[in-house]
Amino acid sequence: MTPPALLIEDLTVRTASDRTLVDAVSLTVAPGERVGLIGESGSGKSLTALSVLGLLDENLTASGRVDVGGEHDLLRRPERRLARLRGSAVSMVFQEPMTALDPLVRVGRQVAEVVGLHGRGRASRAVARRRAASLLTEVGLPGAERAYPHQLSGGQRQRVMIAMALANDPGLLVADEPTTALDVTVQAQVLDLMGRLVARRGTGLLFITHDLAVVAQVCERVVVMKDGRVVEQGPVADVFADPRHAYTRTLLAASTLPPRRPSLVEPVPVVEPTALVEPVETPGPPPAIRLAAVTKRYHRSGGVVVDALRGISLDVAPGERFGIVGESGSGKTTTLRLLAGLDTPTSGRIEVAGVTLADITPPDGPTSVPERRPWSPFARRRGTFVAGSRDVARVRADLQLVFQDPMGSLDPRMTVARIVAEPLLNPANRRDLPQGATRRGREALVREVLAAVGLPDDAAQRYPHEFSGGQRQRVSIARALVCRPKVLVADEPVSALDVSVRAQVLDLLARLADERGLTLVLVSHDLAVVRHLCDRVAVMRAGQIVEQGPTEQVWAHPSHEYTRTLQDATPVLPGRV
Amino acid sequence: MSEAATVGPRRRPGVHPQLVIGAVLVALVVVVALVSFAWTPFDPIHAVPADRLQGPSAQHWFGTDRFGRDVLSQLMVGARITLYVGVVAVGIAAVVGIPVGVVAGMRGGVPGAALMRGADVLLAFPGLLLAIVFGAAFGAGTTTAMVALGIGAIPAFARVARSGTLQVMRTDYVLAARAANRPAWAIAWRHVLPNIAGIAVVQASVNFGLAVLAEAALSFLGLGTAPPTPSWGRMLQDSQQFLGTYDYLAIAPGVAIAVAVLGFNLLGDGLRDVLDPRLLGRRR
Amino acid sequence: MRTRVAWLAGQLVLTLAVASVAVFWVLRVLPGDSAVVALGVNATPEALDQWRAAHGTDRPLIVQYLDWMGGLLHADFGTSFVTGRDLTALILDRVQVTLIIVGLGMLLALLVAIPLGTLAAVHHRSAWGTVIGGASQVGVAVPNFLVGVLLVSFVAVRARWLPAGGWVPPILDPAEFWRHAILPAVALGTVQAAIITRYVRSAVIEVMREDFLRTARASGHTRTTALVHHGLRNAGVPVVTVVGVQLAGMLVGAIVVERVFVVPGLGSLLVDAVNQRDLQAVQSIVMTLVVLVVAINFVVDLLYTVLDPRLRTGREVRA
Repeated sequence: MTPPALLIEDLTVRTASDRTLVDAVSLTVAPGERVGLIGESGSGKSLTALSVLGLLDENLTASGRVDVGGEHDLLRRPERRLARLRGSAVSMVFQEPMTALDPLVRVGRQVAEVVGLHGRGRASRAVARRRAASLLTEVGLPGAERAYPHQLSGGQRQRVMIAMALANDPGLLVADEPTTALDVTVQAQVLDLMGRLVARRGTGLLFITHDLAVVAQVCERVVVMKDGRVVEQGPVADVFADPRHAYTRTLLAASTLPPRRPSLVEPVPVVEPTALVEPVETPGPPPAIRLAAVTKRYHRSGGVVVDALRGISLDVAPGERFGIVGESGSGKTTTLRLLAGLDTPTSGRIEVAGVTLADITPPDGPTSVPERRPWSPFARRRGTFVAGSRDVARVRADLQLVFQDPMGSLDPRMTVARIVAEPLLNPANRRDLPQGATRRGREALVREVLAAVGLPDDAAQRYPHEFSGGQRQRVSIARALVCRPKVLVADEPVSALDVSVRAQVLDLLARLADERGLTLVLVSHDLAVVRHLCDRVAVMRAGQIVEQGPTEQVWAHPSHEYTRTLQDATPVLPGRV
Repeated sequence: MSEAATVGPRRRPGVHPQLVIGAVLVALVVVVALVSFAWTPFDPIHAVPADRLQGPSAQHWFGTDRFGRDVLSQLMVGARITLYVGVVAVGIAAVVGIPVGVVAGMRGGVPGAALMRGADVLLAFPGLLLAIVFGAAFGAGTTTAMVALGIGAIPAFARVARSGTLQVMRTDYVLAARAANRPAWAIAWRHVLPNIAGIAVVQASVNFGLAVLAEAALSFLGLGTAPPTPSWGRMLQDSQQFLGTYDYLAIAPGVAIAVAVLGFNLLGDGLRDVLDPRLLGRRR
Repeated sequence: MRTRVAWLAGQLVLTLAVASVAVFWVLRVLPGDSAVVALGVNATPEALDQWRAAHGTDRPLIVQYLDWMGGLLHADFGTSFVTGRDLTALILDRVQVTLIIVGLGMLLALLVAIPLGTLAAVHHRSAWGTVIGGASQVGVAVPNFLVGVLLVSFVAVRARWLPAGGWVPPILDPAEFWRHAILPAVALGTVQAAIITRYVRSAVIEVMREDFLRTARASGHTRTTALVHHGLRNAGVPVVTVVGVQLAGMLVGAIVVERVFVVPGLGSLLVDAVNQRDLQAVQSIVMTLVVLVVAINFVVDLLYTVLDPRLRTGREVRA
């Protein structure tokens, strides 16, 4: 019998201070088999992967047994002998495509170097170069040898990484979240490529990810890790259909977001008057947000012109939950900045909460837009209207933002109480909250909103780093809601969170939107998230809206080809659509 | 954040040898300077020709110079000038440089670039050269030296403040504050300054060491503090004619300078380790 | 690439223009009438007028500035008001001496610092790294003139291995040149070695944490070969900046070291000029030093562009 591509027995990883990070993990990958290793942050999955190649940080120690192919007991080998195996018997693809390649060396040389390092009979330079060229062609980058990494996109760099990893036909490929940093459509292509190449070579694959749907698509068997231990393993079909361990069940449940209850027949919702919000609706209300033919052009250094938005139009009714879906570069973030008055459009009309932020007729020539000064975005031009600072202030009082990165959006040197109270310091933001003028009044408002987002009482006096990602996102939501805005705009609010927390934060947003009669604009790269939360959706691509309509209708009958591409590219769990 | 980063080595807070040694050395210099106001073993200025050029002894720990003045007493009083020059020079540099950097970082565009270009022209004049130029134009002395060293250090502070400000301005919490319509001064005061305070303190500490070195060099050239006020640099200069015979005259002030500079450098490095990672750690 | 070179050159010219105006302003305008400075406050008005006419200081300031600048552009530094000596020959002669000891000092510093710093980085968690780190930390704190003074005392005066001071041009007598140049270069280089060691160390530590180094190891490099093939070149980019900054600093640091070893360099000339209140000489010497400093910064920026392809293409690096 041929030895397994990978055999791990009782792998334990400890820190210098004797904390156990990986606890007696055992798993095997048969030759040519594709095994998924799943877990959330801190589960020890990446450390397990690094142990296989002997790439652990120096102050971590690994014990147990690791065999790769016919090579036994890798953990006991000295660096030099391990190095000979790395890149030839076993290789690895990492998560961060942006930093994983040497920025000063052309990619062709980097691939050739891997060939040369293990050259069968010392491959000559010319041979290595030719082999590198054919490898780059194989990963779909013909003629890219002379490119520097920064000239390639994330997906292209990941292809280069794959070319390097498979250069010497290893028996095992370890891939650590190789597509997490990529757009969905790019992820689909990279996964497809990796699958094909691995199958063609008969390479065993250990695929590490947090995304169950990706595992379902790529792998035959799955290993679930939690807190450094393996809690369950088995064939993908079995585990996903009939999970034994409670944690697997939780993960599976959280990974599948049910679509929003079909209230889609009546997209304009009825606002329930609550104790917190006075009914402000009048018959036939104007839209909460209206964008008409909005364009935005940025001028980069070196005369490079970027058309971030190429004429988008959309209406969001008061109380509606509106989703914007798009990949990086689609213009969704630019749209957000315009809505919040943080930026001014090149042309078009923007109304938010009854205030006209901008109404600019399209410029006659492409160069007529003056260079924008970031801090006072409202440079005036003849024949245009842009709102003055008072109007912008009104909009900002009515529209608040929740950001993607739960750490970066909170000032690390301020307590949660001060962070949440900050918007109240602006008189314009508290016109309906006179109590916000005093310190005591602000404290009461902060307490109230912290309770509303489900944070404990003592949260106010603590600092952001004392909270988990999900809790920090709650703080962020509390800050956005403390001034009782009418519109809440959330930019990828859950994409940096673990799956198990994701659903909780989304449901909190939904509940708060209902309770407070908020208009919710949700920006996401993930169709499923939007489908879970939103009544209507706009699909954006390259600065344009390619399709918009009720979420279920767009989901079930996408009219634009790109929407279908996006849908097809999104990995789904089997039997759970 | 990657998994490896969260489990990577993390320094225990509190125990930080560089910080502790640096703080102790700086404290030593400060205490000696303070004590010298109240007490020195001998009058540092009064010449006693009978006691000239005595080696270290129980009475004169570090010996006496060519006029019979006690070296230890001179060192103690010299610490005052050293600290005085350092404080004023760093103060000038920080008070001018940090606002320039913050404004340049927050405004960007033409005004920001112009501010930084202005500061960068100063880079063509290393502090010591500027001090010599000022000394030539306005007469050498303690005041000239510290003003010149201060002006010379402005670009260092401006650059550090600007890069810190740019980092803070890119964060979502500044975006959140802007979305809450907070004015620019409030963002500068509540978000930017507290978050760049750490790197500014580090810069101050490092520049303090540089100012001490530069002041000593100026005094060594005879372009610093005027006699008879004792200063470490001039003591070294005076020792030159006795090299090979009375080396302690050079070693005592030399070690004093090195101790002071080492103290501030270690303090700066220690503070960097303690304060800086939080700012840098948020980049990802 | 070409646009970047043009942009850097533009900055160079602009900086020099602003700096020259500043130097002129501070040394010619602010101190008051050069004639009074030269002849003293008791001089008769006639003598002062005569002096002004002889030295051209009765002309408008802008004309005097342009005259001075025009001379500088042709490497003509004029004649000293005080000593009447030809500054051009003097400065050009002295600048060679300074450049030689600064160059030797930097060469020495790099020869020591690059291996030592790399070693300290590779072993930064072990005793070796701590020792090198600590030693360089102490070295940074030592003023270069103290090193000079101690060298004079021990190597020259006590051991009598080398002369305590003075200078012999290399063309005159190469052997004697080396005997005189070694100590000043060592005094300058020792402290620089400590400073650069620290920067090399932190640059290499930084680069060892980079993802691409892990990639290199994952594709078959050992820790050491990965560092040699991918690490050092990347660490070199920030180190080049530091070497530039330090080179500029050494030009000024040389002023003090030249004093210790009685070396007839630009620094000695400058200090003498200051002591003689020869402001016109000071002005030209300072401008010479500024030109050198700015030129070094320019070369460093160029090198940066050559070393880092991301700066070459003009496309912005993604944050």
